[in-house]
Amino acid sequence: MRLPLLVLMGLALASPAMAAPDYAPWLIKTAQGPILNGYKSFQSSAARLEQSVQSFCTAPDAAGLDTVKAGFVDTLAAWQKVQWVSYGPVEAFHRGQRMQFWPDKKNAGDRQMLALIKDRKADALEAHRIPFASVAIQGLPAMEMLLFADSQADKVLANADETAFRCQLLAGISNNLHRVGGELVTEWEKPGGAVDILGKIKDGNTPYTDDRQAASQMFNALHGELSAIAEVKLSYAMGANAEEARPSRAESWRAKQSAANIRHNLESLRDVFVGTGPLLASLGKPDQADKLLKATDEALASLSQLKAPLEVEMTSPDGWKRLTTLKTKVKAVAQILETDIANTLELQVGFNALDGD
Amino acid sequence: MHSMVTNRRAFLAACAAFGLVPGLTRAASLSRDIWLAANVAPGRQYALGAFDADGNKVFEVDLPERGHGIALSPDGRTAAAVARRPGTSVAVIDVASGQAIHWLEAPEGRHFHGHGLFSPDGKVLFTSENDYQESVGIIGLWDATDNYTRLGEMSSHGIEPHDIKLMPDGRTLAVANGGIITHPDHGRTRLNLDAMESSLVYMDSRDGRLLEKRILPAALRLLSMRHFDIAPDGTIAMGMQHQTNTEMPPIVALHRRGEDLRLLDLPPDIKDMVHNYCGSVAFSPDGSVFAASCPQGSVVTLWRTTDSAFLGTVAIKDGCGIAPGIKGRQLIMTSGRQGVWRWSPDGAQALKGEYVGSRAWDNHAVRLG
Repeated sequence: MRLPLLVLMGLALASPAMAAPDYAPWLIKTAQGPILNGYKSFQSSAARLEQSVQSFCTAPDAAGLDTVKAGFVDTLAAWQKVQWVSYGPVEAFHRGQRMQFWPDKKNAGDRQMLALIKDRKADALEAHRIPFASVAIQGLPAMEMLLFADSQADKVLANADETAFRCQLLAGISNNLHRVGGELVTEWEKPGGAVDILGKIKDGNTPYTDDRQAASQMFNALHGELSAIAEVKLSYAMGANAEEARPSRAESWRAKQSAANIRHNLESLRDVFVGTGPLLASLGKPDQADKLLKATDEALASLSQLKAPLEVEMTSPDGWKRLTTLKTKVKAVAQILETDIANTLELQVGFNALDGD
Repeated sequence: MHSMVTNRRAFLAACAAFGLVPGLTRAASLSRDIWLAANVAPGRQYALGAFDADGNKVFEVDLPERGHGIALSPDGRTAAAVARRPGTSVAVIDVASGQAIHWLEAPEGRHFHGHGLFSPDGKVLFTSENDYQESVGIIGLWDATDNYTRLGEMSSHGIEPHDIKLMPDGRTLAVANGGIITHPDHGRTRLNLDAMESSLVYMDSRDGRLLEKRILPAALRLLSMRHFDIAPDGTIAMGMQHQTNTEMPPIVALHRRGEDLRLLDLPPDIKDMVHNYCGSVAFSPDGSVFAASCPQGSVVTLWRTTDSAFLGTVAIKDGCGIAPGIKGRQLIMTSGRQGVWRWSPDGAQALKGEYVGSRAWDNHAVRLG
């Protein structure tokens, strides 16, 4: 009498794991939540930054410049929260590169910005011209150079001419950040925009064959951000040891925000991972969500262990070791994604597997 | 002496800054076979990479957007890397120096579809394009002898041309029209699934005249022909994609001029893995074997040309790019999860070079040499 009951129970327990993943709720929730909210936050930070530049330039003083710098740091932080989103409207018109041309291994940003400064071409970044300027001088790294570079920061308040010239550049870039930020919000939010598209893949006539393809794209974007943190934000700058570390290869070394960037990246991924819980649970693997969050928290914890800015940490043997621990923890998160989670969600990490060409 | 050393050092420093391989190494490398393919490094850094038979870097050119197909000039001196659809740029690269020497921009109202081809005399570059106002396929013509000025365009005799290759007669173009309408305002949204028509077209490269057009049976209307290769005897092997997941039709086909398309079915267990998606096709140098990659199943399928017998699969994670190997039945297979393999009937072997293991490789690879 009891045996059939056990068999039935076994079947009942097994069946959720056998079901095909229903990606749609995960896609829609992530788009409406972390992605759209992230872009809105970037847009409003950039709007405040633009406003602070205007205020400073009307009556330039040290306090006003500090406000601009703080506004820059806020805007950079907001961008880092959506940096993982490698697809959709950010791909069109090079919007992503225009907001942050990174990595810039050949220093195109510095070279082109210095040339522009040397030639006093302030109008190159005016609203109607900036779309034609190099992507390397339109966004956050260019603004960081103007505000924080040893060779540039003092010049913002050096004299009236210099201030006026720098103000033109800062106004052009902050306006561009604000405007493109607005475009990103609109393109995700508008009727028929990216959020809508992700919600109606089953109806056909979208860029996606099916929900799985869109899920694969998002999954790969999340994984891609983790590998960018490990391979570019950390390894590339850290070199083989503390003596060979190159702080100027760190992502936002001039503003000393490189570690903060990683924290914003990991926190934004964590938000998406929390939203992955229901999908994993529906597939009989609620424990995998916990495992993923625990690993992410461990990475965040090792980030809190840093004793100095990342740019400084990498140059001391002990700091370099702490960064190695952080890198290991970040890779552990990526490993869980590409094994456990990929298997459960029936997705794979890849480059070509994403869409039809 | 001193100044020579200094110059040499400055030269090397400049090379290091620009990621170039010094001239001597490159001159040596050009005497052997190389393969070219679009790639990406961590942090979304897109590039066109060239590697040798050991998987070492020959050169790499940064690209502003994700690359796709590569056209090689008949003399092997020039490579044109075409942006992935709906891209707007083509990088024309001088192979000897490993530098981009021209950037082509899609004309107003056109965007590229990832593939191009040089004419047999090397004087004209053809690019497959979409005229997105009229939703018709275009073959754009660029003058390679005059700084790649736009010469004009011809109809592709279908919608959404992708792969474009030259038949062994040296004047007939083969074009795969994917059949799906897209518009830049809508990204990659497919706007006409209700009226899709994919076609394989043969046209005269000199005047654009239609010579032969093959479409799929009505029941297979949602199959899209996009990528193919041509054997030395003119046989075309075609890779296709199906636009829904509700059925599992064949995704590989063969064609010979004047005959019907011959659809080749995968074994059921493989079919279950590949998600209706074939990414790339290439014949071995002797034409006796061809490979069709299925990156969504992480397998490359192998077929015998003469009787279209299914030979088996090679497991390559996100394996998509395929190119002829050095000789005989050899093939090169690239992975979107980093790494490149050399396949022969004896098996598949990973290339040892650090370079190919440090890049994720995009859809297509080509052999130069």
